[in-house]
Amino acid sequence: MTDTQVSVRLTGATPAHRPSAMSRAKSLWVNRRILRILVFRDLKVRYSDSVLGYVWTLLDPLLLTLVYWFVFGFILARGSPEEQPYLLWLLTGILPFQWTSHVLNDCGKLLGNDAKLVTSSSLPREIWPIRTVLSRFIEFLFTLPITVVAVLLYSTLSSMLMPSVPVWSALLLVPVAFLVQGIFNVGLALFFAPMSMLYPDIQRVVRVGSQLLRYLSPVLYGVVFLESLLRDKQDWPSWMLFGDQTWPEWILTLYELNPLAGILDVYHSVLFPDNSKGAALLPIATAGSVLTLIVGWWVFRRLESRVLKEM
Amino acid sequence: MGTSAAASPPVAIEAHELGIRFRRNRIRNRQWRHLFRKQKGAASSEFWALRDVSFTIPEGEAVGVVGANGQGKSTLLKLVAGTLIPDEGWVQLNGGVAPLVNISGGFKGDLTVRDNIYIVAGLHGMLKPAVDERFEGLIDFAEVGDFVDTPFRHLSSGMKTRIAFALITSLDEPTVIIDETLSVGDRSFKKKAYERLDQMLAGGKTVFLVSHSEQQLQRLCTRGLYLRRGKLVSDGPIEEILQRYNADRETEGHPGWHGERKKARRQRRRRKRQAERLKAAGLLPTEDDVIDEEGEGLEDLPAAPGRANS
Repeated sequence: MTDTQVSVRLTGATPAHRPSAMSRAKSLWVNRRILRILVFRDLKVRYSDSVLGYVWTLLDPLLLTLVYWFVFGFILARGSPEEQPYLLWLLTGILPFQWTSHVLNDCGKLLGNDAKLVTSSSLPREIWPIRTVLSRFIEFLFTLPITVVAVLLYSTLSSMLMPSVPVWSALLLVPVAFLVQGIFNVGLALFFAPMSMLYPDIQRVVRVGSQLLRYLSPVLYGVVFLESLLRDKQDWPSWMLFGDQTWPEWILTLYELNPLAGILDVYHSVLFPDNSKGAALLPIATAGSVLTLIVGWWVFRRLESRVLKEM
Repeated sequence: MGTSAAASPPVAIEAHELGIRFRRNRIRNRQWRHLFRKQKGAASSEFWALRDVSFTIPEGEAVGVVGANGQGKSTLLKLVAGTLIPDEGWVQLNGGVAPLVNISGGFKGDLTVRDNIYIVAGLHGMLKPAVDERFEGLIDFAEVGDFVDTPFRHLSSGMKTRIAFALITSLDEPTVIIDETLSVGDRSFKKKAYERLDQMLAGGKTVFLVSHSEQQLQRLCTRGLYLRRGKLVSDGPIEEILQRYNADRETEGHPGWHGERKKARRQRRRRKRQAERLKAAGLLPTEDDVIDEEGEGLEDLPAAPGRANS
């Protein structure tokens, strides 16, 4: 009897009670066309009615970068000479970080916003978080021209200031970093989207968490800088030192366990090859991202039925 | 079994011991430690909205679900449509579904009517050439010819539902799921809508309909499922099912849920006492009002908690 039922819908419950992870992934692949339509719709909605449209996409991260540049570059005069020009350092960190940050901020509403569609179609529900990550990714790609223009400006205005400009081998690593960051983001979205649907408080926690993450990831400074800072203790005020004047090594390890540390370091390594560890942290970041995805997916599948009852 | 299945028409919808439970309490009162626990039975704060519901619908059959308010009709529809996941049992569908439930889902106010039609049709699995082919007819049917390039949010709500209805009814899926709460606008459009529905169903589609309207059920369905307090109490030709349902309604009023029946009885008693007190004080003009109120208490039991949206 089962072999006559070829085109069995893979969502909902099948005789196996819950479809396996494999069949869920397969039905996501089957529905990739719909995923594309959803992403396309997101972009269309975003750019359809505002006068400035695409300009906002550029303006938003640009203004943020300029503010950071002003505060940390001028007022606080970030010291490390290897991170100069600091504007380029910021751009290669903030733009990709905004991708993750936007995804985290979208988590709270991504199921609620399309509640009517979610409750009238039997698409695999993972499609909603993935769609958010993808449309935010495309938005992130749209902001990359800022970096390109900034690099060109710097290299024409003052060739003195430029570091050994783009290392092509490092540039090849960038798509890998995109993929790893994408996996990490999907994991986060799968984890937080159903949680914040059941417990609206989670939304606030996520918002604070994404602020903390901004400072606990190598956005404003580099991993290399942090390492040297932890090793040379001369410049430190006495109250920050422990009795034996060494910081335990595990603090750095803990820091590097954050997948974003490795991912952002790859982006930095394109323009600042001497001031980053390149691909060294990428394996840890990949492992961390995949782990995030697995945990996120597990949580999503476990909570899916309850979320649907709430909607 | 394989050979006998080949003789009878293939199965379109099969449900096996379906069960789903809902919670009575608010999210706030829930405990974190229950978040990930797999539960076998229902906790005291939960109730089974549906349980042990099994049926098989062969391809091309039109089935109507009958039952009073809050007896699990809409929940069953959602389970069949795959928008709720059962806690027990399973339901299986062959082929796609045209869901006439929440038909305006997916339409975005900021996009034009044209963009919306292409995108929503795509979301329901229609390919672009198919939409191209049907676009004109769809616009004509929905009577929105002059507004094709207007942002969707500028349309009247009647236009919006007309477009959504026209779009969903032009989907080519073998199974159609219809919720009676479907509202399609004014009277003249309603007539048109039912004609279109008839046209759509004429081609031997499988229909799964939830409705209170006896007329609609008799017209569209051949078989009925009768739900009472979350159980499938009978399954047979629609005429018999409707007879049984009407007989039940006359003898017992609203079946309700256990706690609610008690509560309703308490409320009735309280109201009666209050009325007597008022009467004693000479504040109540006639006795008819009291009787009316009692009748109301019987008829309009609130829907089961936690499912106010259904």
